[in-house]
Amino acid sequence: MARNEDTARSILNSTDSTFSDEILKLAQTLMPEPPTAKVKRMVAEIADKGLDRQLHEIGWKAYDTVIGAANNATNRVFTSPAIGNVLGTTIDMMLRWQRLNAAIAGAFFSALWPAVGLPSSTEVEGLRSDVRAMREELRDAVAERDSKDDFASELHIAVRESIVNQQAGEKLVARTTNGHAATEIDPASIPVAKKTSVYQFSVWSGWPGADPMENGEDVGN
Amino acid sequence: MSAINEIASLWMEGTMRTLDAFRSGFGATMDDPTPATRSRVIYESGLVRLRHYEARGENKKRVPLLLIYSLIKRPFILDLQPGRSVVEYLVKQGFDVYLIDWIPPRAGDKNHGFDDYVNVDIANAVRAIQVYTGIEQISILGYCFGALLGLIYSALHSGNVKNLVTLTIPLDTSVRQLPIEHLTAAMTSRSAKTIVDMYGNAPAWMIYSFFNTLAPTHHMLDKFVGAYRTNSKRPAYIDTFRLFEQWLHSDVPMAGRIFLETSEMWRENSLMKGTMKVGGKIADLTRIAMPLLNVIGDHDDIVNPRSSEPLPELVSSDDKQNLHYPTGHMGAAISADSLKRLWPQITTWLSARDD
Repeated sequence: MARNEDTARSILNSTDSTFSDEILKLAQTLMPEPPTAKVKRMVAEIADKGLDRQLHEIGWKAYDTVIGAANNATNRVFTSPAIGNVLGTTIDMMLRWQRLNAAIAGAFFSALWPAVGLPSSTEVEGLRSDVRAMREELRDAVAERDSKDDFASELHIAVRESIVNQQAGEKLVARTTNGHAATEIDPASIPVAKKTSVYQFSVWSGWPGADPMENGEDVGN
Repeated sequence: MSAINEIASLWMEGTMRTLDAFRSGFGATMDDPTPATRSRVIYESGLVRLRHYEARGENKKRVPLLLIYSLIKRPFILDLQPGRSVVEYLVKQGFDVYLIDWIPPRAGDKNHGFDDYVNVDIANAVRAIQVYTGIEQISILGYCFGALLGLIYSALHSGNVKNLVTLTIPLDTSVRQLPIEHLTAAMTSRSAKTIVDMYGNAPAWMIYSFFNTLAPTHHMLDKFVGAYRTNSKRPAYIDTFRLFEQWLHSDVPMAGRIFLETSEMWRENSLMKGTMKVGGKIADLTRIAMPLLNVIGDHDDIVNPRSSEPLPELVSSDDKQNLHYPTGHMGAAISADSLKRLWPQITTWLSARDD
């Protein structure tokens, strides 16, 4: 504050004044105190009077009102049937255009990129997906290797046998449940397992103290 | 000024998180945070990975409890952090908990539909539990879309299910009140087909964007302000907020076929009408005769409470009830209040049917 006044005084005393000096003089006459200092002084006065808490609450109430109004407006937009129809048509059109563009770009660039030795975005995406899948598989393999649990493999065999038996058409009787009479189930009515993908067993190793990779600490996406 | 600095810092962190998710993909098993409760993977096949959380305490329950979570996000929300974990609560109550940890579908899984999820994946998981425990009938607790899958499984394989708990189940899709219902209705079958034709599976970024579009103010600003305000009252809250944010960005793709089938089911309201076919068979809800507890979040803005309410009328169980609780869609899983008041009611209900 003092420095500002000194500066102002020195400017006022100056005989060799320019146009900008005159503007500054005018501003200082109209606004003898810088705005930030004024605000600070006002806040300090409010705090002294114990009004800061009230001001705080009023501020949050105003914020809540604005947010509530914004949410209501958004909800009104989404629940309007007319806007819903427009939105549905727009989404549909955008998707179709996107598909067409992708097809055209694919057809054009699929010939161009290999010519300049660059992979296409589909290839990059495919590789990224493969890397991600391999990391998941590696994680499972590590967990499986670390597993000393023989029961897991026994369970695997038992479950597989159970499915095989069911596929062979073994009659299954529904269990009595909570007082309801047991009913016989036609095996044909029970959908059977259609996949015989590799069954894997592992022990969760994402517990603190395990390999940090398991916790995703040093692994990005 | 510190408030603005802190909110700005949270906002910046959140924005970076979102941009990073768009850049490098959303949910993946390996990116899950450290679980609160120790588990063991006991079975894995198809797109199902079955985790076992062993019961604790002296009052162990006999009937195993299978949790089926939704397909579109990672399930770690059910085991978020110590003291704020549904799984931890259940095992402390003496339940042997099994969780279906869905494996995100890859490009080659685009033909995975309701039939594969229900009649293969869940059926195999249930069989694994039967073999593992030697107990023939299990209890199923499904959450949101997982509740829908659990319901369909119970209709088609009723003999294997002793008790069924459905939590925030989207059933009656003719209800049109919430923004999400109008937005879903706006999507035509042709749009859904175009998405599958273009991408194979419904991409994670698309699912994330869909849900965020519903509440732009909240996701762009208010959640960060809310985190600051809550944290000023409860200083440890910011850790929960960060974990919750991580979960919000944990979307996974939805397999193409089930995306199309769900879209059709939504338009036709076919499960409710009793016309939905899974694996060539009608998913007839009247075949459900086991005890049913249908939990409804009264402030749920993702699944309309009115959409869940009709379920007990559609099943033939003698022992059935709706349980209303004043909570939101995710509040049912993570709010401290739900863990104190809602979950004890669920476990009491299950315990009374444990014999």
